[in-house]
Amino acid sequence: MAETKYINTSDFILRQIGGEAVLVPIGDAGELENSMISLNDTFAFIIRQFESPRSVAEVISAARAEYEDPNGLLEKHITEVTQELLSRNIIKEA
Amino acid sequence: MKNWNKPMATVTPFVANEYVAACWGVACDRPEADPIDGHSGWGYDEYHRGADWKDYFHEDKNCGSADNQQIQFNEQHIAVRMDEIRTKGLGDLPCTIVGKNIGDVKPGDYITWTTTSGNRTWTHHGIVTSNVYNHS
Repeated sequence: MAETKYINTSDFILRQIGGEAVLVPIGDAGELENSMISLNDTFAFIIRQFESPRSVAEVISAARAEYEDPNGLLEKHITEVTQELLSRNIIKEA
Repeated sequence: MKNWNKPMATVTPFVANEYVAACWGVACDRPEADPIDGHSGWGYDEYHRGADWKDYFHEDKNCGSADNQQIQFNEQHIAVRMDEIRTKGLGDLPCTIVGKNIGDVKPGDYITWTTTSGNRTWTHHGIVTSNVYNHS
């Protein structure tokens, strides 16, 4: 997985609404259709990273440049979120 | 530098607008004198003109169009209110279903309802149909 690059699918768009990052399904969103997904800062960061093809390692590296990781969970979180985004077709292999 | 927090996403389902969820509608189909009103229905009627003449018309462009009976549904998609809109200068008129709870109305029912403005009360009748675009 470290070498595979991923990119956002066209079924969701990321928008700022009222100062909050929101992922809005616009295409085939499966069970997430007719819903709005509010993201915290770190989740939105991950989504933005996948606006161009990125590997998980690259996203982790970019996150480390921007965030302190006092609990040492950054890599685990990004790996897990990437799997979740793949399973929900929010990102795909580039 | 910011501290890394656990990525969190909150899914909020869209709730259908109560008007958009309208699943039935009704148009008034009375083409003749309503026995309660005692005057002719559709169109202009010369013979009833006079000092006490009252306009009890039921017209295609008013109650005769299902689009003009605007129905309000609650979150359970049960009708809770019906108003006649686009009236002839009378504003929106609340509709009272006769002999039936509006929440029990369903497509296929033949219902009677009344609207009132000032000292005039219209009695309407019509068949309830489904998938009518009477939402805001």
